[in-house]
Amino acid sequence: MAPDEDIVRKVQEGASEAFGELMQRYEPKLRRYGRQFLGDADAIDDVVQESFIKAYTNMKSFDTKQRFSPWMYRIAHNTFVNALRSKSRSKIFSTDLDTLIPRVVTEGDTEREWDEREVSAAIDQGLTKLPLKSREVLVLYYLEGLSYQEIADVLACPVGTVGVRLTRARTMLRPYLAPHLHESL
Amino acid sequence: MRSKAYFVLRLIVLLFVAVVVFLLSALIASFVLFNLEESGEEFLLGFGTQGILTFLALFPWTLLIIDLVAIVVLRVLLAGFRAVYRVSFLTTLGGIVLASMLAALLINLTPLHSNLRERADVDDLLFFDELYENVGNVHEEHGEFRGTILLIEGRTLTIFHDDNDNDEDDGTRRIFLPESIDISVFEVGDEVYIGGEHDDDGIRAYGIREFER
Repeated sequence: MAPDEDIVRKVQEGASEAFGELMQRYEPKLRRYGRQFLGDADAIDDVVQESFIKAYTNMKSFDTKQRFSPWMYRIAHNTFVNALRSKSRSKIFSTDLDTLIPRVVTEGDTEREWDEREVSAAIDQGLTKLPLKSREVLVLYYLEGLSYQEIADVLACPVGTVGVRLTRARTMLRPYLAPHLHESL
Repeated sequence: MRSKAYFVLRLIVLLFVAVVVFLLSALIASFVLFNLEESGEEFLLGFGTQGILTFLALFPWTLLIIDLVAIVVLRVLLAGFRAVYRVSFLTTLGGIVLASMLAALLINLTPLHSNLRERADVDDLLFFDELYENVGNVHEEHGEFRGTILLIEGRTLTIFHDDNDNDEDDGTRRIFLPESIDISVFEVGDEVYIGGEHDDDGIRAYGIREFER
């Protein structure tokens, strides 16, 4: 299977039909990601399509030396956030205190890693009860397999903030995961 | 699909606006520093608590607020760049403030503000002439005084102030210095900057420095 970046290069060179391959790869992932923001399947589909349109329109701005996945997720994330804001009809300006001050957290230096398969299996159960900021990082880290740096690029926030939110999200998710975790964990 | 040229042009415009905002911030900061140097108000910081309070009362807070707004706007303009959003908001803000102050210090090594003030004095400045005309004005109502020493008698100085504008701050003043100030360092003819308060006999100083402009 050709890497995403090779397909993007082809699209940039004029092979527009190659974009369909990217859509096939990312449609189920973005739908899954969209469930953290919107409950309605039709609304999620609309936003996913809108994300693909934005990605195609801005394809020439993508640097193929970088990974395509975080870039695509960032477009989808912003589109979902905008859709959520329109849905809530709330135009309140919110300050994200997590990004205000510097935080030093390195990937993997919190508690022992959970078994990712168990986390993936249980994550849907607990996710709906968690705040959006926690859901985002859990899905991106455990289900989509992005690194801290890549999640920071998707959410456009400091890397330290990703670590802090992930630690916080794990703590909140723990009660829902308890039945799925081995005793050794 | 938008062309590559569109994104390059967008980046150029964004960077141009960011540079303009940065220069605005640096110019404002450099003007504030210029004003502090020309007026002598920087000496107030060495005159104890009373001097600090007077300094805060005289500080151009409006300009500082405009400068901070420019810095925040700059931070927002640059938020899309990885090098900026990967760092905390306050850290990038601090970095921009430092860069702006450095640029301000470099601007003040040039005669820019001096030249603009000279043009303002002869009504040859299109914009901000009032701002430059007021640089170096003495605010006796806030307890700052400036002048040339005419006479030293014991712990009393007589100073003369004339900034060629024929207003009420021109003329002589009697300055009473406390025991804590070493009067021997001053001579007749020295220009001095004084922090003090009016009383019936003259001005009770709490701080004095020789002022070379």
